[in-house]
Amino acid sequence: MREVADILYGAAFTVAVCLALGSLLLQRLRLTLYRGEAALLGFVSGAGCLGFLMAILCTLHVARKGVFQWGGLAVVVLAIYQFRRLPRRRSLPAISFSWLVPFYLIFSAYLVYYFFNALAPEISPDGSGYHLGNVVRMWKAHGFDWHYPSMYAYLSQGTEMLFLCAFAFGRHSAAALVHFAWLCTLPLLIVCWGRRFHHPKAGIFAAILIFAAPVIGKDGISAYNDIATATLIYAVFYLLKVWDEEKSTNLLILIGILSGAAYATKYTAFLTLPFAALWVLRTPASRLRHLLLVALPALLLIAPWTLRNSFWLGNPFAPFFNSLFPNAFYHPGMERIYAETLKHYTGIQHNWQIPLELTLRGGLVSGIFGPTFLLAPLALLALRLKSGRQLLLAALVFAFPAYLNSGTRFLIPAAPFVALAIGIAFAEVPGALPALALFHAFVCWPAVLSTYCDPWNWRISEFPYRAALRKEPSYPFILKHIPEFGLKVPIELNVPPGERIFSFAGRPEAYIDREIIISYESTLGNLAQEILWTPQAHRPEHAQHFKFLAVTTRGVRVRNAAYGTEFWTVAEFRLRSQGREVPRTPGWRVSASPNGWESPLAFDNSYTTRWSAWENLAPRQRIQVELPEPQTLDEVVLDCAPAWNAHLQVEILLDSGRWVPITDTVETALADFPRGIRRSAARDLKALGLRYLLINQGDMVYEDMRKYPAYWGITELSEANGTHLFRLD
Amino acid sequence: MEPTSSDSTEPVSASRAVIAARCLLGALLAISLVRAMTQSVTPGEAWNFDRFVAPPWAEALSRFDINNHVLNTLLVRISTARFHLTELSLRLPSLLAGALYLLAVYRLARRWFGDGLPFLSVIGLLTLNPLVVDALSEARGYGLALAAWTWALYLILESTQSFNRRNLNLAGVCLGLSVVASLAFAACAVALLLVSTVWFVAEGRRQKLPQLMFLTLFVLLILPVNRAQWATLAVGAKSLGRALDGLADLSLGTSHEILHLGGRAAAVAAALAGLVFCVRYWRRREDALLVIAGAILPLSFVLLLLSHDYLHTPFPQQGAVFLVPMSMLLVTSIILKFRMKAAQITYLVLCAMLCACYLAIFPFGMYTAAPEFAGGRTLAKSLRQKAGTANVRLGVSLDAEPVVNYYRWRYRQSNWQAERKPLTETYDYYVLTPADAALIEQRHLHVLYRDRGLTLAQ
Repeated sequence: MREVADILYGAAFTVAVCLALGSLLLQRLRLTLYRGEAALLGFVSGAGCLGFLMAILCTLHVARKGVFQWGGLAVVVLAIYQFRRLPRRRSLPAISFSWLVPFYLIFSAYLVYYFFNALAPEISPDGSGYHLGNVVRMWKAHGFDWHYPSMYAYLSQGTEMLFLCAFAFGRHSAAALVHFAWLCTLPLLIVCWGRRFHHPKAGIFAAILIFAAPVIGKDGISAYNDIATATLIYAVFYLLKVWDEEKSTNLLILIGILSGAAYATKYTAFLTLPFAALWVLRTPASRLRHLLLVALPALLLIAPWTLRNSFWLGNPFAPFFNSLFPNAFYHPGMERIYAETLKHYTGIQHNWQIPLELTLRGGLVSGIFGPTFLLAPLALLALRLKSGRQLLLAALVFAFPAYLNSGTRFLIPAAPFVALAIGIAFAEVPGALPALALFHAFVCWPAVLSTYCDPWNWRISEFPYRAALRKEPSYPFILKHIPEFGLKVPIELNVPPGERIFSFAGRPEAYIDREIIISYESTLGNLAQEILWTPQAHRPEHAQHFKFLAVTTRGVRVRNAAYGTEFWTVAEFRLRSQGREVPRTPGWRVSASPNGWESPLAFDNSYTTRWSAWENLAPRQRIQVELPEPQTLDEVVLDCAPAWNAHLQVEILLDSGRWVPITDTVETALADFPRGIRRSAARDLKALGLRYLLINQGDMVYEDMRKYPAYWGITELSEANGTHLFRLD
Repeated sequence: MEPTSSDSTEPVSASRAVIAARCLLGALLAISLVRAMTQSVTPGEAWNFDRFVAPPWAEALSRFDINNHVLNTLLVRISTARFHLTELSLRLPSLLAGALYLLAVYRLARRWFGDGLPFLSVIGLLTLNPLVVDALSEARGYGLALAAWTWALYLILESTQSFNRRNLNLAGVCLGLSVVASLAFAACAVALLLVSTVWFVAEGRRQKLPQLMFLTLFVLLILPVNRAQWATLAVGAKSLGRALDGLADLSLGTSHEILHLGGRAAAVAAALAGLVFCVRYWRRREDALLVIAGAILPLSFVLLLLSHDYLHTPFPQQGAVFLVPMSMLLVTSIILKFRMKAAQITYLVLCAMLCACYLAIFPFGMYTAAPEFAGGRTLAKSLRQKAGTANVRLGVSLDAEPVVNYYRWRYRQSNWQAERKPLTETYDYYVLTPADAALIEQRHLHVLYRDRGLTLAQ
């Protein structure tokens, strides 16, 4: 029970600090909010502030338990002291008990179910993967881990900051419980909105729709950040409506803080600040002042993340916009591949399937909102009211990220607005809202849900109270849900501390006490993947010969002049004179554009490494070498897997410093490819610091490794659920 | 056609017609109860049970076909779970719906046709049709749909006289329920919805009939139709004429070509007459039954045709039972509207003849839809007696498979192993329909039980 107490303490302490910070902020801003909404908005805004403070602590590398403990306690004590001196706030407009009682009954039933799921060991894929993986690394480093290369470490991590505070006391489940607190906040805030803005029934209806929605429930009990994002966005909308009524300038500061906190929580909330700014600008008077009051606090909360990424990676918006901010940490081409993968629905045969997938089936989109959300088109009936128009506008704006990522989770920020609009649309139909709410609560109950959704739909599927109360060991529970967890012990036994492991797929890194380099998460991962794929996927078996009359020059480059969707790659760039290769010397200055950081890979005499543009073919892409002394040359050879759509030409450097083309005639021939490519790949991987591999049976290289372990020079150390741990000997 | 009483509750002293009607309805209910308890399960009932009632929810919701009458399936699941599986518990929802239908017919007739012979004739026409009699107890959705639709009509007509929002809301729900009970009722429910909505909008009354009907449909249908395939829904008559022919055949127990022609002509004439009277008496509140019935019959035909043309939906067969009350109410209203004694007497005589005809073919025994399976229960009992508790392999004709499966559940005979293999293989027992009866000779089987439709052989 000690473990459970630690978990509960960690989560409760974090929530209490959030509440305390929020309470102090609201007092400072002297906002006249109602009692219920003040508590909820206090938590939300306090969470934003705590995330900001934690980011500073992480930057300074003083993120330690003692700092959290005593700093947090000080804030809580101060807030209690201040709170006692304040007059009691007014309560929200009353609502009929015949509505409140059923609401709280349904809410309580789901609350208990969700609570035990959140309390159970964390088993969500992303939660046990990168969300808590980042937290664990920060916890170990007492701040940001500047050495770990992963695109997920570059994202804004406002919620992870709260997780870090809770993790310090209660580990993984405490973090999940913090997200669960957000899950509880959102529906209550929706009820408050309904009561405040004269749509109490619609508010209660929407709260049930949101709280019972399976994907929201599952997300909310996991160490994710989608519900926190949705709650922050919703809180901004809420306060904008309040501002419409009260026009208090201090409200704008709070709106700004929450807008910034939304961005800090998840990049997909980037529209919150422009939305709030445009909303505020509707009022003709004092436009600039209002805009600044919103923007400045928002930018303050955004700053830790953009500044961190600017200084660390050279890209304030990493891991996105790498074309605009080229850097050595993430390839623009990988970004495009990653974005394309997320953008498209896989397995959908007809567009009509999409609403059914999002509401009833869920297998292809990872989660459902529940059948009642099929009524979303009827929310348009709410357009007859101003509130309805505002809700639908907000729904439209905050649904935009779903265009970039087809997962159901990315529609969560729009869901509260849609639910409220449906509520308003049906408010006048007798019995409709209670009937629909009861129907929704019934059909979304996990046991009922399993009867009609796809079996592999991402959802809560059990009530693990024994695992939650730690009456049964966590190991088998986690193993049941995350089979790769079975590799934890073999990895920690076989891989020495400090060693890194390469994997093509994401792993539950929050549970494995070693660093895992994932193939698609960084340039290092990309490089390791390229090396491993070379023997099978892209052997540089072709040699492109560019022959020309002998010239004496201090520089040669090969330049592309065509467009295409392939990446241009060069495994080896060789200069020749009179049929013999010009030996390379340390004085050669090699460069390339784009991806100049990796240009040495074309001059390292290894066929398993290669320079790649990591961008679609485009004119002006080049790879070049500048020589310390003028050399007589008559041929350039590129060993590569050719990009057939490229149009390459060789240019030489004149004494005047000008590059002039000399030939674009290429003779492509199959090269006499040397043996031992597998061993070479293993050697290059080790050179990158990767001596251990986690390979799934479905990975392309697995069969080859299984057949030729001696050629690879690998030893299998362990296997669990189709994943093999290899060591490079 | 005017309502004869502002209050549809009991009059102080009942006329002889009323007493006769009550006796008739009581007798019908009693007969339905007896049939529900004693008759063998029909293939339709057994198929529905086998596919949608007996399996776990997840399996039942993983498919949908037109034979799944959702409301009936849901209520049967509750009924068979609450009580033991018997023919009565299987048919209990339909039986209760039948009682509700009879009550609706009684109140409707009493309200709009007084307490004389017209009242009695309407009662007879709306209840004695064999198709209707079957629907009163057969464990299919038609009885539920008929009851819900008739109550919707009754409540709407009530509200045309004295506007009552609560009744109208209930009518909206009933309309939704009628479609949930049988998709074949979609056209008549939508027709009634459209006509009544136009009626009340013309009166300047605000009502939520469409929304409530839609929400009822949504809540009850959305999960079952989640996995629906269009191909499994497109089962039914190929043309409206065929649908009317089928209705006439089942109603009169014969299938003469002249009867078909007469039926089609009568339907067209009734629809046209209904349209004329609807236009002529629109806005006269006291003629609401004439106007509404006059409008919904042609409108239902139009909707069926449009749906067939644009959505390629088939026409209802057994589900066309809604045409019975719809057309009979319309024709009776028109005749009574004339106030011509001779016409009324002629009509009453025709009604009496039709009722006599119905009574002549009254289905006291097995349901009209599948008389060849009347001996299913006896066969199952014989098999149970012969097989005892031993594991036996059964070779079953494809048509009889759901019935055998039902009785396997019913008598808890998990030792019956009905295998989906060709009947030419060797089995311990054979349950054969006439189509496979030749097998008895070919394999020299020993017949244990035989009736007009089923044979049990060893």
